[in-house]
Amino acid sequence: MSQKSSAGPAADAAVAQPGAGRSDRELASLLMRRQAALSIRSAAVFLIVILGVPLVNHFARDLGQTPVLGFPASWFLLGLLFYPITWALSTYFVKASEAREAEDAAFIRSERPDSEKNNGSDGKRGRK
Amino acid sequence: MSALEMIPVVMVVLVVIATIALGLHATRFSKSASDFFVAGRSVNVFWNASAISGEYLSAASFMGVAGLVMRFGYDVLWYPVGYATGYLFLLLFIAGPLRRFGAYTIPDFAEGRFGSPLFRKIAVTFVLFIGFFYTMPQMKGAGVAMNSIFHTPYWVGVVLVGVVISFNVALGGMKGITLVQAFQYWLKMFAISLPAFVLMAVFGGYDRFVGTAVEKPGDYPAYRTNVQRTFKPGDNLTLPLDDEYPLRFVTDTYLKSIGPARKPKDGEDRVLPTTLVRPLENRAASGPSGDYNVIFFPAGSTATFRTAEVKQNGVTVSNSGVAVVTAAKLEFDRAATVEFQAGEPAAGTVTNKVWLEPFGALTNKHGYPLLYTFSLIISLIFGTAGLPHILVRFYTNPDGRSAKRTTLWVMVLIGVFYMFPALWGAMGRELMPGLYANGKTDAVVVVLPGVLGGVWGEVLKGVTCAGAFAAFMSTFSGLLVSMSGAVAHDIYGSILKPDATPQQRLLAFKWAAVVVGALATVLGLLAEGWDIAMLVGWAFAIAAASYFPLLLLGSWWRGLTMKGAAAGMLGGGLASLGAIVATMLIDRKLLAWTPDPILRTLMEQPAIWGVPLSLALMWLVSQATKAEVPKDVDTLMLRLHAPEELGMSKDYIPDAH
Repeated sequence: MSQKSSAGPAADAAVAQPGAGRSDRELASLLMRRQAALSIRSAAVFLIVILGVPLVNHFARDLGQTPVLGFPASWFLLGLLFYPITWALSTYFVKASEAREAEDAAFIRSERPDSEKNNGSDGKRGRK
Repeated sequence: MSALEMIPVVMVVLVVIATIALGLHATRFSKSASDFFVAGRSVNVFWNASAISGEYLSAASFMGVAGLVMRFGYDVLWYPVGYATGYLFLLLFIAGPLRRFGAYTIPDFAEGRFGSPLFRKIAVTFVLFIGFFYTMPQMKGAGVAMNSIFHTPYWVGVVLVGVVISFNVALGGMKGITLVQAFQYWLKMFAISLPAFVLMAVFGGYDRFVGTAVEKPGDYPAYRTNVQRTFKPGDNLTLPLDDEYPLRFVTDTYLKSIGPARKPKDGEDRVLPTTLVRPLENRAASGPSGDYNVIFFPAGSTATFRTAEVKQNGVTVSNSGVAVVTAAKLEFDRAATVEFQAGEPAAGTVTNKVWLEPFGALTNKHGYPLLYTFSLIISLIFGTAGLPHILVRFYTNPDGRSAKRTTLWVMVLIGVFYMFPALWGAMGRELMPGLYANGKTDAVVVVLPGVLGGVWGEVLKGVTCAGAFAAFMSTFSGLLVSMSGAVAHDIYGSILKPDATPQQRLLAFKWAAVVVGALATVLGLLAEGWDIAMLVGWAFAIAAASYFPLLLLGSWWRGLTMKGAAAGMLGGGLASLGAIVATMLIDRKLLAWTPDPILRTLMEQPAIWGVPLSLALMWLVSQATKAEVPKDVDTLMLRLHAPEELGMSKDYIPDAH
């Protein structure tokens, strides 16, 4: 299938000159590792919060019923406060993820000057 | 119908016309195959986030959640939380890589990731399967809403929504509906918030509605006026635990039985009707066929119902020193209308304390509330991240970075929306407890503004009705694009006729929209007797155990093989489906089997084992078929994860304008 024969100029260059840079496999794992670490860490924070609420409800029922602004605490948390918490976490993730991508892109480019030429004007975006 | 009652009708008609007009308008810019399937991959973050939110907020979100909160209370708050925060997992693991893959449909990903046309066939059946299950409740919502607002027969709403949306999708495809869905998001947001603020300005804030329940834990909400309710033959009515509970019979009323609401335990004495109601003299009459006795109350009569102490061998049963009492439960033999009296506690609901606190009637029905809650959370979160008609929208982003930003904005847009349904549920409990008696809580959002009375009550009712219609139409359009895409692109364009030209594909899309739309309408007509929550639950549980594991491991683990992915998808997805179908059969008494309560909980909410099962199967089978890891997997993984500026990204299907 012609759609799949090429992964862009940079990947082609790596195949053509194996000694000049990293293989696709190394590049992919380099790019994925830091992103995956960030994703897993964010997911862990979220899972602790969301799975912790039923545990508090079950084992510390009174704590969940403490009044907060006229609501029982547990209702206030799930009905209102929970949404801003996820917004904060997602904002953090998107910022951190974009920063990591930019750093990784700059790092890969600095190692492989040949890919710089192929991408021309795009080159500045990856650097900070 | 009076002039006042026409106001909501006019407003719904306006929304339907606006939907058609916007669709027609957008059609003028919708030309190429890429426009139809993925809106030319040029939808900016604001429009795409609005459109995804507009598509996602369905009948279940707009009407269903508020109705369930009104009915079950706190436990239902997990639904909006799960619906909204499922997008976090989409954001963390799926949005970026999926967009960078750059295809038209989700089965494209399934095929392209493994270079396997066979796997596309498996994937496409899941798209259609999940799509039809998700479509039916939308159709049912439309039929029921039209019926309860305008008193039209059930089929009118189903056919109206089916025809309008099939027309729109066939004419404009994805590009056509993007604008429509974005508009419908803002309409829904307006429709759920403005009337709520007006109601709060008149009757008090959110905290007051919840606070009333906090102050009187043992009470039920009280009727604000006399409320009449009509019951069908076979309906039950459970009265509140109240010493003296008057009921007026508006029509001649024939009851099959008057018994205790509390299920008697072995060895306890029978609770006789005579202890539950007075007066009961001369109330016996023959049933319609004369072969059994019914209890008769003539039209216009009143009776006072009482609670009864539960006895065993004549001695009162007590629990921690308090006598156990039961209220009366009425079973109707023929259709009848009864009137509840103003100021009396509402029938058909639980006490404030049970409503307000965790682990109430919803999650505690089999005795394992914590397990039920955890499994429900997992199903909602991972199911959201595996719904094909939501995922397909991520291809419409220009690149991977904007896909992530779009997801973030979707979470904000739907998060703000999801703060409102629970508020409506709490307001409905206080202001319109009459909805409890015959299970009409689903309609709370569209009928509650009526308590304001007069023109403004009707106008605000019109606003929420218009919002409800926007919900049915936008979700159905998204489902229809996703299913038509599956038929036109995955079945016709990739399996039946791979050498089809873009023009032929486009034509196939239009035909698929008409045919799938007609099929969905017919299924919607058949769905009248089915439970909305059940159908949506199926779709979520299947998606959580099939597409979510595929996309998670497919994007992040190079060692996944086609056989591993297929084993996990089929194993996890079908086992979850089987468990749910069995639950449904047991509920309807079609399957004579009483599983252990833990097993029952796990069958009703299968995600807690279905998702790990699917992931484990994928891992195990992939390990066993290591040699079959696709040869180009590293190139592919690079394409999924390389930032756009490295120039390694390449769409699986390049745009053919």
